Amino acid sequence: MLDDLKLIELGQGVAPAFCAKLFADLGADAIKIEPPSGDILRTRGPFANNEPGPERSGLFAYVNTSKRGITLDVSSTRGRELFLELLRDADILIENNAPSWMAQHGLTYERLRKAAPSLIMTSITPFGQDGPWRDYLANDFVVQHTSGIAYSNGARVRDTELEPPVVIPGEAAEFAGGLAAAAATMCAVFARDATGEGEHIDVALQEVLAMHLQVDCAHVAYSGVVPGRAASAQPPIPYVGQQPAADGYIDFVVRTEDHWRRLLNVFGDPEWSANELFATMASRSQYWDALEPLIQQETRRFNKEELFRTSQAHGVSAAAVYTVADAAASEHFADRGCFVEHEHPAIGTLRTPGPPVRFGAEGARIRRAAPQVGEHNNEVFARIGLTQQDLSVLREGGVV
Amino acid sequence: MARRLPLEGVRVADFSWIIAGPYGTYLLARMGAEVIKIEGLQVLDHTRENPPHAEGVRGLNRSGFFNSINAHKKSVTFQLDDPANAALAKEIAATSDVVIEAFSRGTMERFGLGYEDLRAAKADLIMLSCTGFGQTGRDAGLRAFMGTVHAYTGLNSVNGYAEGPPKATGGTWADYIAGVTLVFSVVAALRHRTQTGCGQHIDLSMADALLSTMGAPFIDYFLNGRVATPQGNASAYAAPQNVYRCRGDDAWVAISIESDAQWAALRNVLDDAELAHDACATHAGRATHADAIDARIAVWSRERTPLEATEALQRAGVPAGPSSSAGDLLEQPQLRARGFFVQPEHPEVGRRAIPNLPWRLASHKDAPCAPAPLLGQHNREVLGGFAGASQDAIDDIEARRDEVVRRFAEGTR
Repeated sequence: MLDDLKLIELGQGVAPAFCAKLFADLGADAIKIEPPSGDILRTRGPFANNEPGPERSGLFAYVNTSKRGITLDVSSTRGRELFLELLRDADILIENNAPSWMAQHGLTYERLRKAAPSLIMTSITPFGQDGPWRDYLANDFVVQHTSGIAYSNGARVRDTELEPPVVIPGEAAEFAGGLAAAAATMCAVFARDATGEGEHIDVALQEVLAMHLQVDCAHVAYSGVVPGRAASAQPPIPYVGQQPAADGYIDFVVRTEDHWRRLLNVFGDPEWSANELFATMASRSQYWDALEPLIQQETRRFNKEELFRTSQAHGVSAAAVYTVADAAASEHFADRGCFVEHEHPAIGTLRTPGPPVRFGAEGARIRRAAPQVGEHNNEVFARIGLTQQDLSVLREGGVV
Repeated sequence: MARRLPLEGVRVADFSWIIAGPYGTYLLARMGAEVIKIEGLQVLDHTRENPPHAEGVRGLNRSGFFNSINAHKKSVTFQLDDPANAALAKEIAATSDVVIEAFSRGTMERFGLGYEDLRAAKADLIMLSCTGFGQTGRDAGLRAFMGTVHAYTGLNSVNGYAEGPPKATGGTWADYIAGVTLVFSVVAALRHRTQTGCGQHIDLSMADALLSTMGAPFIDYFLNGRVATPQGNASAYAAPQNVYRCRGDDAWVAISIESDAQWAALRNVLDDAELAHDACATHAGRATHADAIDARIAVWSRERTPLEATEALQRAGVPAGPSSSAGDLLEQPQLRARGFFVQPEHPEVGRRAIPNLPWRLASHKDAPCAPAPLLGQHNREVLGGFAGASQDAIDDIEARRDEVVRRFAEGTR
């Protein structure tokens, strides 16, 4: 769908790579620029057979599919010149460098649009392009905390001292930020098709995550109350939530009286279900400490899969709390192609999550394995007229 | 002349409700699309009914969450299970570029508003259906809310405290991942339509979208057979990395050290002789002694507020920040400086802060934000306008809406 777009990625880690992957898997011509030493993500696992190596990171291989890769030290004078040459032909630049670093090297949007007048530049940073924190140092972990998502994720705990705010695992901020950057970039591309005008998109990871606090912010703005993290301080526990099964856990979302009656049905309408103290959502919240053990007596009688399927058959929104192994074995995910395989020169057959959405028209697919360090230097630099000889000079100078 | 917003001129008929769809269409609206929220009176959007309501007073136009994620949209009400009303809704859909819906599979077909029905009325329609598990596959029919998707995908099983049980994921995680994916895919489809003249039906599964962001745990399982479990605030690539108790109620500062240089900077700030030990000179050593290091950092942090600690640490070059509640966000210097909260004037509840946008366009740093619509606020404008409804039909729809609003306020609905 995006075969006509040319994209350059100048960044490290997950966020810019995932953003660019979403375009590249849909057909955009994407060039990933790494420093000559390689992207930092190459040093992070999971690695094939747990053996580290620049070509063995499964995470790097996942977020960099369908791209060509070159090495270039953009902080050198010659490197910057070559970068500007490459950019002349590009529609989109995705980057996640510190604003001060970009300015120091003459790579601000104002400067770059002189080389590429209708450029769409998407800058992903922890805190944004301006404001007092714009050059603060932060990673996935720090922005999950500053944005409030870790606070929200650490809610409904029994002991707030022993159970502090806690991050969502798996570089969740980086993935969410890369996805938001892709959505914003697509909007700018659509606009440019009509007007020919470029754009600078400022994606602050902190703000992407702070959007997830909308409901909590509404509590503050509408009732003046900051929702606390302690289970006792939370609004009623109406949804039943995660409960133990004989062999793991199950999660229920019980939102209405009808859902509650259906759940009681699943349990075979135990004697306590007639107790008036549990008759309404409000009273169940009030007597939750007495009610929860009774519910658990029932849930522990079942295996998680059995209770999941029985609950759904009764019309209750429930699911087993699957492990990663359970989810990987899901027939449903197999039916939909949620995990896909491709061949990688160093890793072999690599299985990864599939695309985020199913288009009716031709959709996303992996077009080539992630590039090895500098794999496409010859091909890509030839586009701007460099010869093999030029490249060896650059290589000796540490520019590529 | 002022630049147009990217999606100006695009009309979206939005049948979606609750969170994922409305968040996506909120973003489309803020990017310039005309979003017409089609609100079924037979089952109202839950978020209108759910708290927080302004000052605790029940009212279908008073919900803070609804008024946040539905800002900048228009509202038209229909009794969708009434064929005459459904025909009017179809008229709106057929004059729109995009239709969004988030009902259980088959519901739109029951109203005569399925993709095939609508495509017959508008050949190049783009329609997106957002569900928990998608339109196809063994479990497509599951009843699902966001929590169901968090459980089934395995996200909860890796979330939580080290050696603890799985933990329900916070925020509105999968809903917003899906909402942003909605924007990406709808705009890509609009572009495809411009180039080919073809519309399409997009199948957005919250589970698919969430899985695509879960690279590390699944790839580790596929490559190494490792089944990930909760790790709390720890990381294999940073040590020390944790939150540290500060002065104040439930107050914490987050610190993450990824390099020897950052460690040296942290030691300078703490000025603690016990941290000069050789065993702490390398990442491996710091990982081994993480608990002891954490205890020393906490001695320092307890004397300071999260913002004081952050400023001292960042000045020295240490990645750090306050662990924030929603209340803290409203006061945070960075978010305030960037205008992250906007306060549209809502006709019933006045000015209330809502989070603005997850990205900013340089061409529109202050993109306009109208308040969320009252229930059916745009019935006359939309139905009497391009939908071409008769005056009688409009009066009837207005009367039905008034009845629903009255009964909710009375508590009889």
